[in-house]
Amino acid sequence: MAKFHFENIDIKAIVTTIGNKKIKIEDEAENFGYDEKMVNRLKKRMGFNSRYVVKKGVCTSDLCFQSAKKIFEKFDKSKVEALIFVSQTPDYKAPSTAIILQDRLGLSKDIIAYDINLGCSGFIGGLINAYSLINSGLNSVLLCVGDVASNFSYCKDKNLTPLMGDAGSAILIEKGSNRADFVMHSDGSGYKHLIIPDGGCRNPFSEDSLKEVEEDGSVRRRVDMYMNGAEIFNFAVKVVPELINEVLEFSKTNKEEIDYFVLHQANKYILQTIAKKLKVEDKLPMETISIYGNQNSASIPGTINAFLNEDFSNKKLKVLFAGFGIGLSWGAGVVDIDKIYAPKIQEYKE
Amino acid sequence: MKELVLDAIKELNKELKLKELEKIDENTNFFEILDSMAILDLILEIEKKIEEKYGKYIQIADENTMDVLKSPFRNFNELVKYLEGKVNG
Repeated sequence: MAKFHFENIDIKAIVTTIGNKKIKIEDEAENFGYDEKMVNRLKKRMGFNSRYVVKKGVCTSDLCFQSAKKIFEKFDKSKVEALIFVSQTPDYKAPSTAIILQDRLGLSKDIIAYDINLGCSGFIGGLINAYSLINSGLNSVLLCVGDVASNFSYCKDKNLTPLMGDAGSAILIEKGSNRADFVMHSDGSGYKHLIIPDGGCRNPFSEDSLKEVEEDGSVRRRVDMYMNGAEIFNFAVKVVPELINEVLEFSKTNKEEIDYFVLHQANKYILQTIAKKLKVEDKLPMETISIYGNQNSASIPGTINAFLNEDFSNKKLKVLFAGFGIGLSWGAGVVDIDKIYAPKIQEYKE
Repeated sequence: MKELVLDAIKELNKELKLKELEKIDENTNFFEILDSMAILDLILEIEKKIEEKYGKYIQIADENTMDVLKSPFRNFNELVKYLEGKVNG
């Protein structure tokens, strides 16, 4: 496992912007062939009540742009020396969306800007990169994370689409006085369990890429995300409790010292199972997925802005973050938070 | 444990109302009757009943739960043995 220890670095601000189109599970029932009984089961067990998505054409960078603009109403953007964009939905295949965002946000041309392709572990991966840059001498890093999942989940895929929400977060990390510890894992042997098969160099886009295929009772195309739900479930219930124990041990922290366990919002069952196993049910915030959907790399900051914004704004906290998913990739961090700028989650403004 | 599992199935079937769940035998493969969410429902019922009976939470799901070739849910007897192993430590 890759381990990282940092001191004298602060998260200064977290802002999340979500899609402005709310879809309730009942609205999609007919499309996915769900009867009333199934809708109720999805709500009760998986926490699928509603989700927020963008209108066609809105990109992850647009959501991150709005989040970052809000941060720069309070903080001096001229201090930013790096911009990292973590997403699976860049504006273009090339160039890096981070560099386009540098210009849109009016940041200095003297910054380093780059993209990272990570999904649900992306907040942790992004923080590790941002903290490492500060550790190397930079003063201020803007981390943007998120996905417009409605871009890659097919409208007829009832395994994946009803759980996905669109969100983009911006996080400002600067030199400061707090500590953080992270661990990270990668296992490419499971790459086929969550994958967009076509459109890259391995399987270039072709006519077949747009053909609908029926599989596991769902319909999708090869340009859309495929999820083997059973394998991802098996993966999550195995690795996440181990991951949390690992990061607690590495940071020499007892779970009783943690104020909040903010986990990637995969589904209600997985979250409850993990919380129950670790006996931390009272420290797990409300499931973001129930209202906003699974927001990929923005689900941890999204949960903070949705349900923990008051405590993050007004208190000194010790928080455990854990992200896990596509890759397969999983990571966690124990991070000290000291009264940061964390406004309520905001909807995207056209 | 066998009775506990049968109770959990009975409880689950109040909601699902599946005829196949009324005729469980030693070789029943739950993957042939239940979808993945119903398997989760059954896990939750079993976990609840174990907690009630033994006074402790035991996580039933692991990396093999949804694997049709390895999961204990592919056979009723296997499931009972698996749960006994979990409870006894």
